[in-house]
Amino acid sequence: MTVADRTFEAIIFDWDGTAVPDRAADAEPVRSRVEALSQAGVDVAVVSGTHVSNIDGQLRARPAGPGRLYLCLNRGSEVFAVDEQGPQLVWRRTATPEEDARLDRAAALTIARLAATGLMAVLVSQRLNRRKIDLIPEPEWADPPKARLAELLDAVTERLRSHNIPNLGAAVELARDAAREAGLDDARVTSDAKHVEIGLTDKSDSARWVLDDLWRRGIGPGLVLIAGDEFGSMGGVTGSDAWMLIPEASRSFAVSVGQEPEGVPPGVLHVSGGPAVFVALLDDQLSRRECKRVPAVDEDPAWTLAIDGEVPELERVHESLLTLADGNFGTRGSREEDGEASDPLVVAQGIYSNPTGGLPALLPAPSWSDLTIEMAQPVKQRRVLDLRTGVLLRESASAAGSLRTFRFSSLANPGVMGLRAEGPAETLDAKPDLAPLSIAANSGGIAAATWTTSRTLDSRSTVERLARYLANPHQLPTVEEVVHGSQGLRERGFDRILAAHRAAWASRWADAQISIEGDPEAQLAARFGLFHLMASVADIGEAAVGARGLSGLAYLGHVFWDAEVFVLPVLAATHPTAARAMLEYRIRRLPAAQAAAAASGLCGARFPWESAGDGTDVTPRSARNHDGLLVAIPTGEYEEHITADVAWAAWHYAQWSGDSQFLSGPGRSLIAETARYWTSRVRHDSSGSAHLDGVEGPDEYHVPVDDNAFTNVMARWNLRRAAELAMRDGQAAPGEEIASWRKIADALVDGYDPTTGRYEQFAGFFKLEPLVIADFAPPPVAADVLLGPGRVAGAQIIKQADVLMLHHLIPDEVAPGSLLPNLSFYGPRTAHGSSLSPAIQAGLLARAGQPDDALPLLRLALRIDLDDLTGSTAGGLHLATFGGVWQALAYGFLGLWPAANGLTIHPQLPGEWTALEMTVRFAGQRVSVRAEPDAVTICAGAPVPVCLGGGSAVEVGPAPVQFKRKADAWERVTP
Amino acid sequence: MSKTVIAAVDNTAAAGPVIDTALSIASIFGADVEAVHVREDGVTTVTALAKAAKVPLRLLEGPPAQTLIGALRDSPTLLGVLGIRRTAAGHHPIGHIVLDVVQHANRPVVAVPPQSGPRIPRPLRRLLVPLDGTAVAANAVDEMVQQLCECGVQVLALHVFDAERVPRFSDQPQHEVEVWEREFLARYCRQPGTRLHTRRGWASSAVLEVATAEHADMIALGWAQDLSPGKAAVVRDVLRKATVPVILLPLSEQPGIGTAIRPADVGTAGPGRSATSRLSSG
Repeated sequence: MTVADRTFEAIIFDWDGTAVPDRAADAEPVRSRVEALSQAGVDVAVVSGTHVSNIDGQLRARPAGPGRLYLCLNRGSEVFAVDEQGPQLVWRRTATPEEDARLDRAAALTIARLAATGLMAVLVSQRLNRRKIDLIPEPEWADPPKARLAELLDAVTERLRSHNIPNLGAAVELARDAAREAGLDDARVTSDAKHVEIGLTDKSDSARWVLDDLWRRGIGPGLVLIAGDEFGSMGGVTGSDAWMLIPEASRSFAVSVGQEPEGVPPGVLHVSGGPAVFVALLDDQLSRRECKRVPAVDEDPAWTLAIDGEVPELERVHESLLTLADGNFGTRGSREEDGEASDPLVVAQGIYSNPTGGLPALLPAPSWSDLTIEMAQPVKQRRVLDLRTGVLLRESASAAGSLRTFRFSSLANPGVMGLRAEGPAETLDAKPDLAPLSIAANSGGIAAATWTTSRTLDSRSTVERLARYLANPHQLPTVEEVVHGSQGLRERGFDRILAAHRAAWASRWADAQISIEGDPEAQLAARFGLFHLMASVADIGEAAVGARGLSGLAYLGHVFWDAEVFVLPVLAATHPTAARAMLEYRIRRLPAAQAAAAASGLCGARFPWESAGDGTDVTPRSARNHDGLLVAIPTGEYEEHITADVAWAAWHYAQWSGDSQFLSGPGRSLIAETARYWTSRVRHDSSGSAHLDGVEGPDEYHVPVDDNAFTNVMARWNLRRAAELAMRDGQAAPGEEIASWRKIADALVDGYDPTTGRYEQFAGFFKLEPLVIADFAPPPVAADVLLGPGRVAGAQIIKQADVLMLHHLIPDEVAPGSLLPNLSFYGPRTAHGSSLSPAIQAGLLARAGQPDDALPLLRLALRIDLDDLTGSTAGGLHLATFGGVWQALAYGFLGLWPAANGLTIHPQLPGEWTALEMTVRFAGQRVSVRAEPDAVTICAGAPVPVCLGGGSAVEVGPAPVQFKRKADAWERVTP
Repeated sequence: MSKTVIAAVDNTAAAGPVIDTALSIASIFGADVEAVHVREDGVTTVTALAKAAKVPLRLLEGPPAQTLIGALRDSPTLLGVLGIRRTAAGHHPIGHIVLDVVQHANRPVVAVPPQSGPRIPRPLRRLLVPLDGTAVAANAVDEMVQQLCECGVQVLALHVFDAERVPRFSDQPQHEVEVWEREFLARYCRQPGTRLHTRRGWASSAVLEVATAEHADMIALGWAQDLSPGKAAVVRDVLRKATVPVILLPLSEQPGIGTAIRPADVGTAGPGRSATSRLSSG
């Protein structure tokens, strides 16, 4: 029996009256189906008020998995997990002696008040965490079957009315008042018509426990079927199964197979028919599994990006937005049949090719998602990307019928992809499999193969495809390698691979939560960016993170400072192994960086502005500009700050992760070799001051310049950290060298003027034409295009934060109190012509105590790809902008910073937000911080030091600690 | 019924290039050329011209502009061709008749500049298509450009960044420009082999400069047929100064399907805005 055209991942159901007619019935029909569902990967939870002996004794299911079976019993007070060995208690709510006493008191009060009306009621048993009062202790009604429920209700109502209690609801209210009087403010008072029960838990606790367990494995409530027989009210009392319809279950599909004499609540489908119909529902779900039907997506508006309709002009943008990636392989969200407007692509991180001798670019791999779909004049087109579980659903409808496709790129098993499709036979056909092949890149390459099964039944076709890709930047994977293991892959099957993928995403999000209460649009956009960041970075080996990640070929997959300065902090704070893999990419290219320095007659290591496979500089030396002119590209030669940026990333990773081994090993090499570069790169003047001539800062409108403050201060920071690290590890460098690092660091000029509190962006900047961008156009604007490169070069108009990047990256290295004067000076001069700029400025404004001014810039950054504000999202997503957004939220609005003495927190919320909550990993622990306008709540997996609002460090552990704002300080209000 | 290219001729030296241009375009489309002349004075010159060009001549009576507009309405008419002004050194840079016709014609009109030297009929090989990055403008020229392209005419697209059309962001020009241009062509000029030229500055100057530099044989401009003060400055300027024919294509009535590649104000519109609108959850 089909009640919903949806394949559920979990089924929660009531026992008595729903699964079985009564406690004496043979439960074999349910048992066999529960075990089959478990084998098919479906989770099942039985919810009942009774105890485990009753339910397990009747059900006797012994599922082998992988789907889980839970018995949620004793009216929400216990949960048992059942496997082949039988039930095991996994959770129990244990009443304190005080609570037990209050329950006794509440029951006694209830019985006494009923007695006061002349009605005799009896306390029949003392169940776990509840007291059960029989309202009709008469032999005829000692154990009424479900079939006599209506009669029972009439009898109880008649009995109550005869004692001036209008109905069952009034009796429940009487008990609730008694419970409150007994000191139970959150008592759960329920009735099954015969009894009134006063308890500490009810079925809502069961539903909440199960939904929470499912959520942690990537199964949202929209993938859950809730079945019962008593959702409707009864005699003025909420139906017992309605307690399962908690707010968190709002997207679950609820169905009643009961009689429901008073109807069902809105949103519940009433099919009646009792256990026989319920069993038919289970059969329908088993059939869908058997037929390999397309899975469903939990369309939570807080987690899904939906694209409706078809706009050919925007198709390539949408394909970028809908990219699926597993850290190693990325697949654009092209329709399975591609089409004229489409730009499909599969790429592997770090696999570059330049067959024509040009610049290396990411090597396109063959597609795994092609299908033949011929759908004339679709009346509906819809694609939904579920950010929480990394799956892409497509639904199309035409006169021929509906078509669905569903795919994922496994985060749990990078390189494994899955696709299912279903639709009218004349519309859908599987293309031939991708025969195992391998494609050579400059170095290494990619191997791939797909395995497809399809069938047609009743004029509808279903297709299931598994794909396996291997990539190796050093050695070409062979066809044999990709085929090897495929048998196991296919035996494991689509459903299990999908379940592991969903669970992997849920686990990833658990360490990277972002909630912005009061601003759902910003919240979704922030999650969208974080989703793509997490999907774009491998966490094993080395991770070459190109400017557009794995979502397009723009920027050729080249690695810029975007990786270290914008992307890496997010991973360092949420998934440190991925940040470590990004650093490994640089570590393995340290010899190339050393060679680059040596080629210029310098020491140490100089990292390239653009890097690909071998670590040499691959920055184009010329290109056409917006004037249509071929111009020299100076960044490769002058934008040397990337060398210090790499060192900063290594240090920053260690600050978040606490990975001291890294800083004692390969991390120290990165920091020391980059420091050595600066020692040889500086020029000393006659006064002993050190200078860096001929460089380019983040503001690329002015080049070359001397003594760029950003470059100089980053180099100074680099030198000091190298010295600090060497000393920490027992003089890991010669003493003279350490002294030299310190001396040069101290000698480097930084352009700071203590009288104004400003840094001069570079030597001579203050003498340029004093323009502000608002004189020409409202920012953001590409000022070099608007005014011409020559005009901006002679003016104080800047592309993006330059001096202010120092305040963003190394706030302890800049002059105290210099943030505000530099914000007020450089802010109006910033055109934000770089997509990196708005988010950083937003974070700085928030950090400076101006969160309401920061919000428009944050929103601008949040929409850069969603609204294609650059006009180039079709070529891939702006990962650095996503990283900037996360940093604006974490470092700006929440004021997080991984300091040596603990995690500092200094929230600054805009007026429109009611709360900002983020989860990070600090020093190996998961830390959640929730900031409200006047309160901050923090908890951690294990005790970690935190410093709130500039106060001294306090330890916070698993128990949430709340602080309230009192004047300018934060006061701890929970122990 | 075969299509007709109407060549509006008068008794001046401007008539020769008009006939030549009409023949050139008609040969591409496989259309016939019909010369039309609104009788003002004698017909000897135009008769001889038509005879020499081997095209039929239709003599019309009435106010010149309205009569030509009426002639262009005839169903087989593909487009009209007429001179911008009578002589290369004419007193008025754009004749009043052509101004009237282009604003009210319901067909594309090719405005032909007079030539100062001897007539050198030029086959149409290269078409310059300035595009402002809106779907409306792209739609206006799309059909004509596609037909010309299919007939072997090389299409040169041009986008001019001016104060109205400056991009918001431009990250690394060595990559950004190429990506942006590729997407621009994909959205607004999908003809195979189209080359996009970009310029910064005044649009009309850039159009004329590129037309000269790239040896364009004709310039295609989509426009709203509105020459009231403050409107169509580019069209007016190009007509005044062009040395090659200019085909003016009325904007399509149908709403644009995309949005300008240069995004509109944040929070109001942009290519991705509609993309992320949600349906309610299931």
